Amino acid sequence: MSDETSKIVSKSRKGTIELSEGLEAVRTKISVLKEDRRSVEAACVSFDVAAGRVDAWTESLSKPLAALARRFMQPVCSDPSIVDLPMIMAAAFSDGIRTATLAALHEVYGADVEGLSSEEREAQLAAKREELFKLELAEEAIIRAAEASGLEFLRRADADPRAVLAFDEDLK
Amino acid sequence: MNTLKADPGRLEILRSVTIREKAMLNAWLNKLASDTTLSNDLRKQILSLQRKADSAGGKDLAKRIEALTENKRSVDLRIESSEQNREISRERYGAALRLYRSCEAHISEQGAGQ
Repeated sequence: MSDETSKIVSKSRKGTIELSEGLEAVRTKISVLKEDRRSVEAACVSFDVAAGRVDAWTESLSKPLAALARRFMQPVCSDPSIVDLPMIMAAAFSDGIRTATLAALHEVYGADVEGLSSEEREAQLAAKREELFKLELAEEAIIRAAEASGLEFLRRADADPRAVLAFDEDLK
Repeated sequence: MNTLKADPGRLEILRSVTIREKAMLNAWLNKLASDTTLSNDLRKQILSLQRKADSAGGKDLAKRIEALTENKRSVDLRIESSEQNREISRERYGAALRLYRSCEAHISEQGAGQ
């Protein structure tokens, strides 16, 4: 093989490796970003939202007390069933349950949890979606460049159809 | 950027990739089937020769058995490697098909939205 041919071969090999490495780098970024997105989706709600949920729940706990009181108001009254006792006790002590749960919530949030408001969550997810889409476009651009040089890289099964079906001009 | 128009021509390319991957999978399946048949035939030949050798003996038979056993070993190795390739090929075909279908659905959704 002449020096010139060797150079061409070496250059071609380099080109193939670069395409392959570029694709791998983009795919790694996609994978990391998807993991980040899952973390944002699964992140705890803000303290106010969680406390609101505790309030709503403990309020619902106290509701059976009115029905219990009405039961004793009837001309003919039968005693509540023993089966209803846990519900009645929860209703009777709902204020205490609320206070204790809110105290636990304060402790957990104060220690190491930073919750997200729904606006913050949506803003973060939107930013990640945008970034992810740009990466998917970059990935498709690399695959098409490879295809143009006769190389075949299989697309991911979960690639974004908007990127895969984009016009060439939109990938530049 | 998120509202890019879809190029229907790309779907045809994805379809051809799916066809190519399916052809590759079929090629591995066919190779595997023919090698399995060959391995079974060789096993039968070896058993038959071994029966002959047990009753008649002879160096020639022993040499033929040895050659056939060696041949079978290499066919079995080929089968093992083909089985791995068949699995890879099956995954590749599955991935190509899933992507083609999701893109097809995307195009029909876009069409319905217009």
